[in-house]
Amino acid sequence: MTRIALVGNPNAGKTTLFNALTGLRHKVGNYPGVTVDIKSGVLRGTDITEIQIVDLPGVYSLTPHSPDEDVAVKFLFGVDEVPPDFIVNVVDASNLERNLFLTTQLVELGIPMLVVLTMTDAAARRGLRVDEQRLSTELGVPVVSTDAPKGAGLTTLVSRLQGQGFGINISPVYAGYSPEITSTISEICAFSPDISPVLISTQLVKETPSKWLTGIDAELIESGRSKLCSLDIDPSTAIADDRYIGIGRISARSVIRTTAARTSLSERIDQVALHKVGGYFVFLAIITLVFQAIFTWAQVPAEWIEIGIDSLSDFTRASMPSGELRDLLIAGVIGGVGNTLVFLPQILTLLFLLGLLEDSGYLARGAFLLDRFMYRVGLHGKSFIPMLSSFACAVPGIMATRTIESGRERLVTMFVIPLIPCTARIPVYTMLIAAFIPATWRISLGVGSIDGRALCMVALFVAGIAMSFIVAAILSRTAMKSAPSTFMLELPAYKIPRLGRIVRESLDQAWLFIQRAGTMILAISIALWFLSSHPKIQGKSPKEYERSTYAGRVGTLVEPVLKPLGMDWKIGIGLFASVAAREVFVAAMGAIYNVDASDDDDHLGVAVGARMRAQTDPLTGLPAYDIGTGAALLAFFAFAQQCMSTFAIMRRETNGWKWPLLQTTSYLILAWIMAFIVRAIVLAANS
Amino acid sequence: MHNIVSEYNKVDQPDPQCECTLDCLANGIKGEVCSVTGPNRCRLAELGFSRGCEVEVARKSAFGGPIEVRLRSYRVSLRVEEASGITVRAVED
Repeated sequence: MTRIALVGNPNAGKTTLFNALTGLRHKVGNYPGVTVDIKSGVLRGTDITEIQIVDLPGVYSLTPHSPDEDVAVKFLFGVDEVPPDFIVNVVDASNLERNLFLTTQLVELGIPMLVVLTMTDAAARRGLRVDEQRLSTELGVPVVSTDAPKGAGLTTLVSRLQGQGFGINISPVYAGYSPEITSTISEICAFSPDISPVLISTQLVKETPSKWLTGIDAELIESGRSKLCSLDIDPSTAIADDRYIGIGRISARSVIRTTAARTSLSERIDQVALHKVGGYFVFLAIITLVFQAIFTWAQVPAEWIEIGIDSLSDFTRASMPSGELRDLLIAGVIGGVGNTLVFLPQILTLLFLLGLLEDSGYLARGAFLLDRFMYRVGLHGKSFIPMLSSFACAVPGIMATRTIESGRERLVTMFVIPLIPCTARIPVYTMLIAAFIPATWRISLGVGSIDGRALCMVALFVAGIAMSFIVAAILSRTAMKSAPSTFMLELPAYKIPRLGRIVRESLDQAWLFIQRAGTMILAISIALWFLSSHPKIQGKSPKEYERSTYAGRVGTLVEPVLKPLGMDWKIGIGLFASVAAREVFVAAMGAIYNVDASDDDDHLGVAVGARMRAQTDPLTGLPAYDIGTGAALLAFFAFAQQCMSTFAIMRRETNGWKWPLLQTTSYLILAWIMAFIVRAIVLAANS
Repeated sequence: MHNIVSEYNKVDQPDPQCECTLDCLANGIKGEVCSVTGPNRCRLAELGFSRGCEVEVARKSAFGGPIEVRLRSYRVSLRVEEASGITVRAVED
C-alpha cells in the first residue's frame, strides 16, 4: 500500500483538497498515544489497498511547537512508523513565501513529493501570478495548480497520483547556511549517521529538542546549539534568516506581478469588523445570535428527542414483564443514552454555527478582539471559542482547546471550562429555582420590578462565567505561571462558508461526542441504576430500602459533609447520581421521592421540586429543606465539577490522571465553600 | 536553491538605525526587520520575520490588544509583547 501525506500550512486549503481527492470516503482516526484526530482516506478511483491519503495537521515548519504539529512532524520523519511514501504539499499561492518555508524543508526530507498550488484566484486578485514551470525548476519537484472546489486541475492531479508518477527522490541539502551552521550540521551528521540534516536544522532552532529524539541525538543537537550560541549566533533566528534568503530568490524568479494590489474586500470588511468600537458591537450581535440559537431554537428538536425517549421507555414498560431486565433497560440504557441524545441538537447547532463562523473567517477576528481581556486573566484570544462551546457542553469545549498552541494557556482554558454554565445545569437550576425561590419575590426598581426567579437564573450564569475568569487569573499568576506564550494569529480572508463541508464536519464531531461521552454516560447510568437498586433486601419498607442500597449508603456516608449545607442523605444520592450528567439529579430526586416519572421532564421537575419542599424532618416535623438548602444546592451546581464525561475527556486530552483529579477535587471543594457561604448569607437575610 | 552561496553576514554592532521596535511603528509606515528576540523568536522567524524582511503595521486594536502586521504578502497578528521583541528600521517608500 502506498501512503500519501497531505502537508501544508494551516488555512492553505488542505482539507478542501483532501475531500476532493478522497471524495467522502474518509474516516476520522485517533493517532495512538496523543489525542489529535488524523483523517485518512482512499484516493478516488482506487482500491482500498492501493493508495491511502493521510491529512496531517497544518504546520508552518518541521519544527513542532504544539501537540498537533508534533504529530505531523513525527509522521513525516517516520518516528513511530515508516515515513510516508509520497508527500503532497499544499501551497497557498497568495502567501507563497511563508508557505515555501515548509516546502523547502519538505524537499530536504528526500521523500518524493508534489506541490499543489491553491488559492491562485486570491493571488490573482492581489495582482500576483505564480509561474508553475519556473517554481518547479527552482524547487526540483513537480508543481501543479488546482482550484479544488471547482475541480480545475484536479483531474490531472488525481491521474498523476494514480499513475504512480511518484518521481525521483531528490534530496538536496540546503546549501544556503552560514559556514558555522553548515559545519555544526555536518559534525552532528558525522557522529550520528541516521539523523538527517533537515532533522538537525529543524531541531537546532528549539530551546530544547523534541522529546521523541533519541538521547544521543538530543545531546548532539543541544551541544551544537550551545556551540552556535557561543559564537554569538542565535540558531532560533539565524537558520530561518538563511532559509528565507533562498526563498526570496525562488519567489523573485517565479512570481509575476500582473497588476497593482487593490484593497481587498476582506480588508474593507475588517475596517468595520475590527473597528476599535464598532468591532465589539458586531461581535456582541453575533454572539447574541449564537446564544439565541442554542437556547431557543435548538430546544425544539431537543423536546422531540425527549418525547421520543419517553415514549420508548413507556413502550418498553408496557411490553416487557416487570423485573430486573426491564428496569435496566428503562433506567440504565434508555435513560442513559437519552441523557446524551437530548444534548445533541444544542451541540450540533453550536458546532454548525461555530463551523460557519470559522469557515467564513470570523472566529479569528473574535480572537483578535478579545485577546487583551483573555490575556489579562492568563487565557488566549482563541480561548473564547472553546469557552463558547462549553455553554452547550464542556466535552466539545475541552476538545476544541486543541487549536490553542500554547500548552499552558490551553491547560488553563481546559481547567476553567467546567465552570462555564453548561446546558445540563439548566434543568437542575429550573427545578431548584421553582422549588425554593418564591414566585412572589420581585425586586422593585422604582419604575418596575424584576422577576426574582429570572434574576436568580441570570445570577447563576454570571457567577459561573465570572468564576471561570477568576480561577484563570489566579492559576496563571500562581500554579501555572510561565513565560508569556505565543499569540500569532492569522486573519484569513473572508469567504462564503461551504455549507456541505460544515454540516459534514459538525456531524463528524457530534459522532465523536456521542462515542466518547455517550459510551461513558451509558456505562455510568447502568452502574448508577445498579447501585441505586441493589442489594435487594426483602422485608424492608421502601424508605429503609432506599437507604440500604449502595447509593443510599454513599448518601449516608457523605451526609456529615452535606449537613452544614442543610442537605441530607437523599440529596446525597441525587448528587451522587449527577456524576452521570448533572441533569440526572432531577430524575434521581424523583426516584427517591417516588414521583411518577412517566410525565414529561418539565412536569417531573415541578413535581420533584414540590415534593422536596414538602419534605419534613421526621423528628421535629419542620420542613426538611429551607430556602438556604435551595440556595446552597444552586451554588453547589454552579461551581462543582462532578461530571464523569468531563473527567473522562480531561483524562484523554491531558493524557493523565493528574489534571482531571485536581480539577474535580478543587471544584468540589470550591463548590462546598461557596454553597456554605451562600446558605449563610441567604439564611441571615431571611431571618 | 541548490547552489546558493552563503550570504550570511554576521552583524556584530547593533545597527544605530534600529532603535525602533515593531509595536512603535506607526500605522502604514514600512519598516525592515533588524533582529528578532524573545521566547517566541523561533516561530516568528519561521513565519517570515527574518532579517531584512519588509513589514508594515496594518492595524492596532483597542485597549493595547494585538497588532496586525503585513509582511510577505500576508497578514499576521501579534501581541504587543511579541512585537516589542522585533526591532525594525523605518524605510522610505
